[in-house]
Amino acid sequence: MPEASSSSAIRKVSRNLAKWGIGLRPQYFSALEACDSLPMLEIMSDNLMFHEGGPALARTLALAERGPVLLHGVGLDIGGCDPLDETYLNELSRLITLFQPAVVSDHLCFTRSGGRSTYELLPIPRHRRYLQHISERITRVQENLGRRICLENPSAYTSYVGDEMSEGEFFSELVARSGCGVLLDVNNLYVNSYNFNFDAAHELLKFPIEYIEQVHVAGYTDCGSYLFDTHDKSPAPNVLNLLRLTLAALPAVSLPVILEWDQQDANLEQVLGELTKVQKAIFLRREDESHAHP
Amino acid sequence: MLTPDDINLQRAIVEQVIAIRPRPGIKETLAGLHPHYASRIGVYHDSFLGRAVSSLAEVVLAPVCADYGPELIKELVARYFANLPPSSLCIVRALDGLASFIREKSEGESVGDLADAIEVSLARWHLLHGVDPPSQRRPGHLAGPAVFSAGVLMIKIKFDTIAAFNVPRSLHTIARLLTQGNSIEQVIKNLNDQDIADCDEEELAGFLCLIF
Repeated sequence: MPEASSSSAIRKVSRNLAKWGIGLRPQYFSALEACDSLPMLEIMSDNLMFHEGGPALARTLALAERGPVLLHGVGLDIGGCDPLDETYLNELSRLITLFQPAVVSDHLCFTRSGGRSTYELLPIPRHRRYLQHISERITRVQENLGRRICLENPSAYTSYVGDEMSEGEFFSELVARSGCGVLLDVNNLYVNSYNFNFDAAHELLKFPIEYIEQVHVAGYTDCGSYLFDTHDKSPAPNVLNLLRLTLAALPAVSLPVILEWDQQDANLEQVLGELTKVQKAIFLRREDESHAHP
Repeated sequence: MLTPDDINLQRAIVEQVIAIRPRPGIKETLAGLHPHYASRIGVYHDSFLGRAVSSLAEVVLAPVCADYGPELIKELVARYFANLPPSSLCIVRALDGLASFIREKSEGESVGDLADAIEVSLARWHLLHGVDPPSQRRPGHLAGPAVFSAGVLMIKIKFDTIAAFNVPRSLHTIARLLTQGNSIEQVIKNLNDQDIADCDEEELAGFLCLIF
């Protein structure tokens, strides 16, 4: 573990009182509507695109009126070679106007090519020419939307010949060139470290920490030779360690930390229970370490 | 500046990920992928099949699966994507041509019924999840007895209950109108200048018979 796990770094966690929240899924609507206070909610922007009305949009808007929300997408195709889709950007812009989200994010990946959609988050080569290509696309998107976007480090299962930099280094370069922010998914970072055999805590320090605007935490499935980002299990201890390190390394501001949970039959109570477990793992450990290092 | 090789590699990866029927050469390692991890492109392929075929069939077309069996519906969705690879931005929209595809490509007495059932199931999904088909975006489409009856229907059985029934495409419009900030009751009153209490039970019963 790097120095960030020292008691002084752990103490910083208490200053970083993260805004904890969950990914909004349609099956939580009724339960959330009955809640007195809401966790921070991350809305899947793609799920509400092309809606001019309807229950999903209306109910999401009603929830958004009760607290800050985040917009998170999967279809921007920022790393793709097809032209940026104007319709998609227009729809995203409309949602931003409607929801006034604290953060707008998507993934550093490509999702389609030649007009064909995969709906998958496919990894991009970490080559310098891709750096240029993607930073130009980010600039166009940010100009179009009139605001900064954040990009998430996706989980990956394959990689490319001749990658010229690590994931954290690529993000640092991208942020410097485009001015975008980072949505750090600590589960994805851990999954990738296992899948490609590198040290996650060491890699974390290569990310542009001061540009992290949001954090994701989730669980993975062990498929033997690789880990798969399934969002249907409790975050593993190693992932929680990364979350702790991340919170400790962040500047003393309050950032949204969102638990992603995609078990199909999950209800709100279960997901909030999982979120509480994550919070306890972070804060009780902090207390334990404070006692150990007065 | 990306090179033609970069573009070709992305296209080849997408082809492998969305391949429904593995073609000769699908197992080939793509030049450009790291040899040690190239075979893991299959992880994305499996994920695509799970997301775009199984999940869409079992979730979006759940009522059709209940009537015709999930294996048949998944097979039809797979054939559809094999013939018409998905291009929509929104994954649910990828199924928009499925009913037409079945009518054109399938044979048998029940093909028409199956295609109709798929259209109704998609319409219900869009109704409940609020996606408005472009054909329903004309404000002048809102008034009329069907809208009135649809509104009454929705008042009576609510959104959660309506999930158990087949709902015609005409309900999209009323769903949109009803959820633009007004209560259902208020929308009906404004549209028809009539209170819910005045709704004719006989008309409601007739409407239910008509659509179910």
